[in-house]
Amino acid sequence: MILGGPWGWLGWTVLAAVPLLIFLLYFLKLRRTRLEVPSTFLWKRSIEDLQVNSLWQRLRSTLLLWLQLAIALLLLLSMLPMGCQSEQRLGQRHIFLLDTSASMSATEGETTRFEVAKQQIDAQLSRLREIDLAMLMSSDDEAQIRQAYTSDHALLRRKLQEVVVRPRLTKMDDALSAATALANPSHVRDAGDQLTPDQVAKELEKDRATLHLYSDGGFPPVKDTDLGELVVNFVPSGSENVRNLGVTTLNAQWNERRRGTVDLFARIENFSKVPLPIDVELRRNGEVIDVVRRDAVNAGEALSLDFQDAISAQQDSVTEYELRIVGSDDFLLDNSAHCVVNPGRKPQVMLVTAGNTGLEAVLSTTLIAEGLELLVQSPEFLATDGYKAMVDQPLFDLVVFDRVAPKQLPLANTMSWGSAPSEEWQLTPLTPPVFVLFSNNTHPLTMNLNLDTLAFLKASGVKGPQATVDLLTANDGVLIAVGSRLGFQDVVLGFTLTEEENGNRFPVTDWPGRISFPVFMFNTLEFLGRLGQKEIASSVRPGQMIRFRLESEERQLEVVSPTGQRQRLNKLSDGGFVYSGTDELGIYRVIGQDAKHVRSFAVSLSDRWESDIAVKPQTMVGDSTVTAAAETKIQADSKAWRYVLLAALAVLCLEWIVYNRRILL
Amino acid sequence: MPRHPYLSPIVNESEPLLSPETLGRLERLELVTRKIFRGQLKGERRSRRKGQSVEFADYRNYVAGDDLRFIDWNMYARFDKLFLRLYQEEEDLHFFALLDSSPSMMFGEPTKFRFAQKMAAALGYIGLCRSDRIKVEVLTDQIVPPSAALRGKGNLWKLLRQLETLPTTTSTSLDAGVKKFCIRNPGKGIVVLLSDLMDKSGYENAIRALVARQYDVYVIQIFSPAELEPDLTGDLQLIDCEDGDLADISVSPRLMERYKATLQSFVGEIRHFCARRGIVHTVCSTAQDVDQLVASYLRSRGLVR
Repeated sequence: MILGGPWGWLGWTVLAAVPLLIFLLYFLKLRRTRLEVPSTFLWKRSIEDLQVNSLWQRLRSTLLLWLQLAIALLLLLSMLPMGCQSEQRLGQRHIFLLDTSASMSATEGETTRFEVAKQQIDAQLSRLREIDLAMLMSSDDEAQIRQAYTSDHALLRRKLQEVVVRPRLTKMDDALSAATALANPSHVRDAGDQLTPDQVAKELEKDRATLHLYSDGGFPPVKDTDLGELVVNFVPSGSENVRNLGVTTLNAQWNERRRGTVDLFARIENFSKVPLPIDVELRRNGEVIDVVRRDAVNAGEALSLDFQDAISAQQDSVTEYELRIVGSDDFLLDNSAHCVVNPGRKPQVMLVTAGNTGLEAVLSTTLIAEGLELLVQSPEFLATDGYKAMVDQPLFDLVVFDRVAPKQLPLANTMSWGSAPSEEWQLTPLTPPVFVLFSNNTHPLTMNLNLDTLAFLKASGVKGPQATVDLLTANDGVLIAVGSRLGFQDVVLGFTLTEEENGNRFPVTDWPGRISFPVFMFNTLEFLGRLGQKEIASSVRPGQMIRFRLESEERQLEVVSPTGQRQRLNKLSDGGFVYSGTDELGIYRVIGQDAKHVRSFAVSLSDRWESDIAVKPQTMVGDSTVTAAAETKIQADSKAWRYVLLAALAVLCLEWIVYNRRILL
Repeated sequence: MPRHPYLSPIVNESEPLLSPETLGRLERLELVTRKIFRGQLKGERRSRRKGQSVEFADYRNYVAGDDLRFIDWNMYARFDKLFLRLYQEEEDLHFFALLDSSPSMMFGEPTKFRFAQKMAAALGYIGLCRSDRIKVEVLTDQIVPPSAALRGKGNLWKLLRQLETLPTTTSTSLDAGVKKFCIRNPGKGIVVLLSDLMDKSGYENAIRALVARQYDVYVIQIFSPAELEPDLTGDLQLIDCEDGDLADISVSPRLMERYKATLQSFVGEIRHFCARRGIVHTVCSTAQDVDQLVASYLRSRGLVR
C-alpha cells in the first residue's frame, strides 16, 4: 500500500497526529462546570473506587471521545489516496481536453456549450477514483496544459474553473500532438528494439491514456498526428440544430477606376438547417451607410455582398467599417466583421538622372511634392552599395530612371525614360516622323488623357516581356508600355524629354508643355508610387500579432481595445510597434500624442470553421476517424460513504455544540 | 460561582414556621421520652420520684413523719396496718432542639436549616403545650450564654422568635458544637439533633457525647431532594461549601448508582451506630411536609404520641 498525494510524509504525519490531539484536547480542553454543593463528602466516597484506573474508567464511559476518534480516523482514511502497487489495481490515466475556441461560446439554451462542457468534465472528475491520474488541457488556436497528471482531483477541478472561452479559432493539432506524445512515450518507442513485445505492451499499458475531447468538432481535420495508444473519447458539446448566420469574409480594396473609392466585399453564410432572413448593416465610423435585406438565405448557402464607399480625402483620417448582421442567433461573435482604412505613408520616390529639369519640375509641384518624398540621385549612384540595398529590400515605391539603366532592377516600381530597364525590354529607334496613333484610355496611367496630338522628334519603340500593356502607340511602334515584374510594375517610355547633342540641349517632345504631362506623372505616382493612397487594413484573426509603423516620430502609443482597455506600446528598435493583445473582437484604436487617433486595426473572427457551430459527429485525426461518444466510460468510485461520513461529521459538530452548551468555556 | 438550582439557598421568610392548622394538630401531641428525668418544676410529666399527683403509683408502709393525708384508710381497714399511698410525681421535661447551622444546611428549597427550624418549632410547640421546658440551640463552638428555656403555650411566640433569630452558617464541626452544647446544658432531657451529619470529621463523637450525658437522643438527619436524587450532568467540579474541597466528577449512570449506594451506606452506618446506643435515627427530606412528618412519622418512631 502506498501513501501519496500532494502532502507528502510530513503532511500525513501531521494528519496522523490529529486523533492523538483530539484525545489530548478532550482532557486538556475539558472545562468542568464549577458547582457548589453542600458537601463533597458523599461524592468523594463515591468516586474513591472510580479513581482507581480513572483514565480508563473515564474512557470507558466517554462515548463522545470514541465517536470523535472514530470519525477523525474515518476522515483521515478518506483523504488517503491509497492504492496497491500491483498490476491488478492500476490507476487509469485520463486527459481532459477542453475546446476553448470561439464556437464554444455558442448558446445552448440558457447557457453556453462551453459551460456545459465544463460541467461535464467536472462531473467526470468527481467520478474518478483516487488512484486515477488525470490531466487537464485546453485548446483554441494554441494548446495549454492547465494541469499536468495528478491524482489531486480537487486541484483539477479548481484549474477547470479557471479555464475560460476565448474568441479564438480552433486548432487542435498541438493539443492532440501533446496528448499523443504523453500516451506514446518516447522512452518506450526508443527502447522498442531492446524490449520484448510483452515488455513493450506492459510499458505502454502503464502510460495508456484516454483522451476525453470536449469540443463541438468545429476544427479542420488534424493531419500528421498518429494517435497510437491514445484512446480518444470525443464528447460533442452542443447540438446539430443551430441557428446561425455568420460573416465569413469582409475585405476592402481601392477601386482602381474611381479614385478615393473603396470596394468592400462581404460573404455571409447561413449555417442553419433552415432558411433564415438576413438583415445587414454597413457602418462607417459608427454610422449606417448601407443596408441589405434578404427574405431568406437557404440553409448552407452564402450571400455575397459588395459595397462601394467614397472615403474622406483627408490624409490623416481613419475610416472604420463594420458589417453587422442585425438580430440575434446562437452565435453572436461572427455577426460582425470589421476593416479599417488608415492614413497611408508618403511614397518614397527616387529619381536617377544626370539632370532633367522637366521631370524635376513636375515632381516638385506642390500637389506632388507634399505627397511624396523625392530623392534625386546621379547615375553614379547605381554603382554604390546604397543602390545594392535597394535591390535586396523594397526601400522605395517608385524609382525613375532618366536615360540610365541599372544592372539590376530594384525591388520597386520603376519608370524608365529612354532606356531599357532590363534585358527583357528592348528599345528600337523609330524612324521620324513619329506620331501617335492611339493611347490606352482604360489604363489608370493614361486614362482620360489626350495624347494623340503629341509630337516627337526622336523616339524608340518599346518592346517588353510578355503581358506588357501598351499605353501609347505610335505609327512605327509602342512609345509607352507597362509590364509586370515580381509584383512590381515597370513603365518604359521610348523617348526622353530632352536630348543633348554637341553640348546643346533641345526638347524631344512637346509633351511637357501640355496639361496631360503632369496628369500622366500624377497618375504614375498615384498608381505606381501609391501617392495619396491610404492603407487599407483587413481585419486580423484574434490572437494574431499586429505590427505597424508610423510616419511620425512618436515613441510611445496607446492602444484602446474594443472594450476600452488601454495598453501602452513602446517603439521597438526597428522603428515599428507590435501589439499582441488581440483577444477581443472589434476595432482597436491607436492613440498618439495629444490623444490623436492615428490609426486603427480590426480583429474579426471571419472563419467558416468557427461559424459552422453545428456539432460535428465525427472528425479525423491522422488516419483515424474519431466518432462522438454518447457518454464517457470512466470507471467511477462509489463515494457515497463520504457523504455518510460528512453526515457523521455534522452530527459530531451538533453533538459538540450541544455538549459545549453545558460547559463553561 | 453557580449553585445547582436545587441547592440554591432560597429562604421563604414569609412562610411561617408553624401554621394555625399545624398548631391545632400539634396541640394533641406529646413529647415522649424513654427516660424519666428529674424536672426542676412541677409539670405534666411523670417523674421517677413519687410525689403529688392524681396518678397512683404504689403503697409503702407508713413511717412516722409521713403526711397523714396520703394514708390509705381502706387498706388500714382491711389489713389493720397503715399504708401510705404514693403518687407519681409529675415534673416538667427538658426538650432540647439542637440545630446544625453549618453552611451545608443552607441548601435546598426550602433549605435544610429552614426545615430544621420548622421541625424544632413543631416539636417545641408540642413541649410548650405540655409545659415542658423547651430550649432551642444551634451547634457552635463559641462560648455563648445558654438560650432561655421556654415553658407554656404562651411562650410560643418567643420560641418562634428564637428560631427565626438563630445564628446561621456557623462553621462549627459537629463534634465541637455538641460538646459545647453539653457544657452549656448540664441537665437531662430529650435532645433532638437536627443535622445532615455531613461532617467530614465524623458524627460519632458528637453522638457519643450526647449519649454520655444521658440525654434521650433523637437524631433527625435532613437531606434535600437534590442530595437524595441528584440531577447532575456533564463534567463537574464540585466545591464543598464548607471547606472549599474540590471533587471532579464526570456524571455517568455508574457514578450516580455509586453515589446512591454510598448515600445508603452512609445512612445505614449512622442508623446502626445510633441503634446500638438506643438512639432513634430518622432520615427526612426537605420535600416532606413537617406536619405530616411529626404527626405520623415521628409518632411511629416514638418521639411523640
